[in-house]
Amino acid sequence: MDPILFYLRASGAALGATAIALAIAWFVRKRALSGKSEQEPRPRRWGAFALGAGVLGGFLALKGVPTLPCAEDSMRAHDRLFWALLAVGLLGLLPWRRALDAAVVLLPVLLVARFHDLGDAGSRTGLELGLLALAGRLLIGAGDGVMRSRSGPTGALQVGIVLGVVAAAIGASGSVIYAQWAGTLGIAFGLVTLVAWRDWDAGQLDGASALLLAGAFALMATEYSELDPRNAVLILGALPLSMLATRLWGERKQATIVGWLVLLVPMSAAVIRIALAFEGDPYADFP
Amino acid sequence: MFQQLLILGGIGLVAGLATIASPTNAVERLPDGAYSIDAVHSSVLFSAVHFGASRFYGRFNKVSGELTFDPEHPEKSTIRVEIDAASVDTNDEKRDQHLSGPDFFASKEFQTMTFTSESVRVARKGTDELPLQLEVAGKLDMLGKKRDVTALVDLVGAGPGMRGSELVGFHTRFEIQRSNWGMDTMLGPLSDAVEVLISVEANR
Repeated sequence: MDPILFYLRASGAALGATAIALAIAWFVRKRALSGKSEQEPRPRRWGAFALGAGVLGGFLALKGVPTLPCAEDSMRAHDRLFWALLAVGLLGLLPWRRALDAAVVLLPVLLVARFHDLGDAGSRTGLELGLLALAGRLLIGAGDGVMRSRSGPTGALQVGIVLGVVAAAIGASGSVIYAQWAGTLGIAFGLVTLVAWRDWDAGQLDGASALLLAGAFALMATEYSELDPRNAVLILGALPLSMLATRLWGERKQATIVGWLVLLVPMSAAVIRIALAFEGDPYADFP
Repeated sequence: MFQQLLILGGIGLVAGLATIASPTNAVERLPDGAYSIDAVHSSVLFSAVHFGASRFYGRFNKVSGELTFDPEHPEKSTIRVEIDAASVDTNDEKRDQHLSGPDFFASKEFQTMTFTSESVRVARKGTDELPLQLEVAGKLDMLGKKRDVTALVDLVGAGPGMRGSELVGFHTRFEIQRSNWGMDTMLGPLSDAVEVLISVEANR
C-alpha cells in the first residue's frame, strides 16, 4: 500500500474513532439532561475517552489487532501500550476522577514490564519506576493546570504544540510507526478541540490525559527506539516549567510572554539537537 | 632464473595451503557429532526490493549457533542459528538505526533471532557433480513470533581445517514474508518478501 494512503487510513481511523466516542458522549449527555440518567456525566472525562478512542482506533488501523497478553506470541512494546491505554481509559471513565492518578503508576509498569519473561521489569529498579510515575503525575498536573488557568485557545494551542513536537521527535529519532501512532493523539486532540469550541458540551478538553498519553509515547520511544531521553525531558518538561514560571511571575503583565518563552525555548533546543543529528546523512532523505 | 624459481615456489606454496585449508567434498570422511558455528566464516545476508526498483542487501555481523551432522544419516542432523538483531549492517548508520528499531527488527525488545530446525529430509544425495542437499524445516523466532520456515540447504564441503579441526559448511537461500512476523512497516515501498542467504561454517 502507498505510504500516504496507509497514513491517511490511520488518520481517518483516529478521526472516526474520536468522532464515535464524542457521539456517544453527546448521547449520554443528552440522556442526563433529559433526566433519564441518574449519573451526571463528566464532560472532561468524556473528552479523555474520545482522545483514547482516537489513539486506539489509529493503532488498529496501523498495526491491526494487538497480541493478547495470554497469546503464544510475545507481546511487543506497542501491544503492551495498547492494552495499558485501554486499561487507563477504562479507569478514567470511572466516576472517581482521581482514578486517572492510579494510571500514572500503572502505565510505566504495564509499558515497561514484559508479561512473558519479565525481562525488562527485572532490570528496573523501584526508584526508576517511581521517577516515571512522578513524571507522569507532573504531566497530569501541568496538562490539567494549563487548561484551567490559561484561556481555552491558549491552553489548547500549547498542549497541541507539545503533542506535535513529541510526534515529530519520535519520528526523527527512529520509528515511523511510533510517530504515526503518537500523531493520532494530535489528530484526536484537534477534533475534540473543534467540538469543544462549538460548545457541544459533550467533550471538553482534557489536557491531563493528552499529556499523559504523550508521555507514554515518549517513554516507549526512549525505551525501544532512539529518542534521546534528554530531548524527551526538554520537550515534555517545557509545559510544567512554563506553568511554574507563570506562577512565579504572578499577576504581572509579562506573565503570558514569560509562559510562552519558557515553553518554547526548551522545545526549540530539543528540535535543534534532533535536527543536528541528521546533518550530512543521506538517509535523512528517507525513505 | 631467480624470478622463475620465486614464481614456482609461490605456486607451490599456494597449492600447499589450499590442500591444508580447503575442505573437500569427502562427506563420508567427516566425523559425525556436534559442531559450533564459526562466526568469522559464516554470513547471514538479506535483501528486499526498494520501491519495486532495486534489490538492496544487508547483513548481520554477529551470528552463532551449533549443528549436529551425521553423514550416514543426514536426516538426523539438527541446526540452530542465532543472529544478533542489533548487528544489522547496511552500510548506512541511520538506516541501520532505523532497521534496528521498532519499525523493523526491534533489537531492544528482541535481541536475538533464532532458527531452530525441527526436521531434516534428504532432498538430493550428493554426487560427484552435485552436493548433498537437505530440506530443513524449522521455526524462525523473530520479533517474539515463531513461524515455520523451510529451506533447501546445500552442503558446501567438509574436511580438515587449521590446527586439526574438522570443518563442515552449508549454504542456503530462501524467502520469507516479513509480515508473518509482524514486521509490516512500509509494506509496498519495501517488499514483503525478503530473501535470506545463510552460509555457515561450523567446526569441532
